[in-house]
Amino acid sequence: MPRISSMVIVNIVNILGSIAAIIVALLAGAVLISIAGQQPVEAYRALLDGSINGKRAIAETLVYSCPLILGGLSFAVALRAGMFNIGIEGQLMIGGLAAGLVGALHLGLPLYIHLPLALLAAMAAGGIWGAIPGAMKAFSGAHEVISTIMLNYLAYRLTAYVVQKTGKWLPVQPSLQATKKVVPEARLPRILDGTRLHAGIIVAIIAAFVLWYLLFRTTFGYKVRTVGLSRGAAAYGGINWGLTITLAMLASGILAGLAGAGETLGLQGRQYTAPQGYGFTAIAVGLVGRNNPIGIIFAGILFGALNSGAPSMQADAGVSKEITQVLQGFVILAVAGFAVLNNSSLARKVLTSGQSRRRDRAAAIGTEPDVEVRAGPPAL
Amino acid sequence: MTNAPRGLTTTLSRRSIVAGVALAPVLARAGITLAADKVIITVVTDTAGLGDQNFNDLADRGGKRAAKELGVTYNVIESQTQADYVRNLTQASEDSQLVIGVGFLLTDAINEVAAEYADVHYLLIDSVADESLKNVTSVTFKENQSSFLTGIIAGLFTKTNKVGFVGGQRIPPVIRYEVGFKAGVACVNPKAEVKIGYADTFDDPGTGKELTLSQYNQGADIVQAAAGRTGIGAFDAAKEKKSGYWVVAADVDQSQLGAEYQLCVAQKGVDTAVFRVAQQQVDGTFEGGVQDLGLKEGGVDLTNVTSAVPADIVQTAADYKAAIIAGKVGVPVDDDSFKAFKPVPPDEVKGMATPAASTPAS
Repeated sequence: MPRISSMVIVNIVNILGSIAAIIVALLAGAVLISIAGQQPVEAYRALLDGSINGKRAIAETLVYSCPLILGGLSFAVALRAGMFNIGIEGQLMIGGLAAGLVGALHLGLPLYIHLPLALLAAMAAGGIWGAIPGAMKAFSGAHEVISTIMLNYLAYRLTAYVVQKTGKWLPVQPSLQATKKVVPEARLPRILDGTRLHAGIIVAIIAAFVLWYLLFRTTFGYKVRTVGLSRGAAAYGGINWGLTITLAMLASGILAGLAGAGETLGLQGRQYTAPQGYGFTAIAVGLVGRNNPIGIIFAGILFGALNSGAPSMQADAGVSKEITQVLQGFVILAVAGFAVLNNSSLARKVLTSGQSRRRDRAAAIGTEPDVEVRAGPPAL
Repeated sequence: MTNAPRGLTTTLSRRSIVAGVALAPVLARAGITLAADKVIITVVTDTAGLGDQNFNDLADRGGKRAAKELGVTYNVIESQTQADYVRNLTQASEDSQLVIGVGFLLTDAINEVAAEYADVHYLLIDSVADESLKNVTSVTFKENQSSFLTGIIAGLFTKTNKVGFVGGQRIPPVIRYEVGFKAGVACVNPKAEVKIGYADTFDDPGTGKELTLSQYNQGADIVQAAAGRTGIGAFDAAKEKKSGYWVVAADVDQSQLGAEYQLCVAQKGVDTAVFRVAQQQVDGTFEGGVQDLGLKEGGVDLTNVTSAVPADIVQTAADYKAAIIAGKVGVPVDDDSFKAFKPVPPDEVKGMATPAASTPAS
């Protein structure tokens, strides 16, 4: 079973690489905290205290993980097809807006109808917002990095417009720069007493497993991964490149829309016009999770913990909020660095130390494509 | 960059035994001793955070003053996103007696958290919480009144008959700034055009600069910013255009960003409100309810008028101020009342408020 063993080795190398990167990032963060005149040990103790010590802390970590996991999945499915989706933030916002509008309507429907309706609205809206740049690339070759960034701005402005100007027809509250309060029948229920933890986290984890199945156990997933590895090879194999990238972007947008719906229906109870920035952190989550849906669950929880521990670091250790953002930046840098290392030497060495060099390398490409290479700065 | 009150930032939580060891030298430096019965107040900022040189820093100033003069323990928790408000207020409520939510956008969050922690007191700045919550004091300001006066100054001082207004998000306190400014300009300079721009964020000086620059480039020579951290960009824009371009600051004197460009300030007493409620907390006289502070109450004012403004313009503004305080001139508060607003020219206002001038007119 050399094939399986090399698969496992690739995964282990990936996991160890991510863990090592996180450790390096935390050490670099410690240096920075010292330079800022604070106690790194105290700061990290506060970080842990605020993120995993007790029911409320764990719940908060999961609350912050929810949009990051869904956003990370959104990034991963697009990148598997070779599409660098920077438009998650906009797709998330449009999804949240759709969920907020549908959720705020007084329809008199029970939870098991109204909530799915609101979720479906978010998925549809986010999906369309994601599919547009996919189709644009398929038809005219418009680069997705440009078009997704531009669609972000359109999403922000459209949300602001809807909230401010459509009060006659839609349930919005301009004075609060938000949609009206979502009715209880459309809220994602809270799942842990005395905390803000809502059913969105269950949605996120289910979505991760669905995406894993889709990517690695279906023809569609095979097509997506093939297109992402080599457009030419995919064409030679009879795969419709344009259709596949458009569908992958549709899936990406659907997941981002769900992330927005989770925030609106689970946490805030409304969609606000101010972007939350999860869509960009989600890119980091996707990269740290190595674009593997299961890895992304853990990466999302890690970044969620960094977010939920931030106020403890501020209140108990006097570390400013900017430091936690810098920490996240360090994690991303370190992961990117380790990914390069993996691809260039470490992973290859591990792989080629096996029996047949050629067979193992083929196996490695078939199972865990070197997406990290692709994750570098996109060539414009 | 951040001017977090490092020396003062601590809590008396159940973790303080652990934290105390590490923090002892810090506390000693700040001249603070830990006392078990000390009042703890915590400010939760909005997403613009500390260092916005504006609204949040003003609340922070009030908190620091309370720490210094009243001996309370003072903490700050900064918020990064809208989702942080409930979490941060909850965290603050765990160990503080008074929690201060800085900003209109914390309204929902204060309602949620204050209902849960009935024995903690809350101060909500810029918005009104659920009236059923007896543990919340809501303080709003009549920004339209101070902004009306800066509008008077701008309307009389402009050389181009074009002035501008850059807002953060279009929420009620900022709307009050906007309509007050427009009404003030309309009273003294009916020919003047007021350009309006919104950044849709309180957190982005870059957008603030671009909006301000575009208004300057369209001919405006004075721009009022009511935009939190975004408003820092207005000063950057004025610096880029060099002399002859002015910024009207909102909330607080921002001369540290460029004294030579600051025309005047529509001041807002957030710091005073924070300090006063902190004092009530210490004295045991805290009371829930709503306070709406205007020129009359000293909650807002026109301040820091630059010496480049001629004395007669300053006098005209003073006349309007007296008339507003006397209730002779009503300043619009929102779009509807602005539409219905009839400008009051300066000669009608002159001496209006003084008893000697109260001629038997109507």
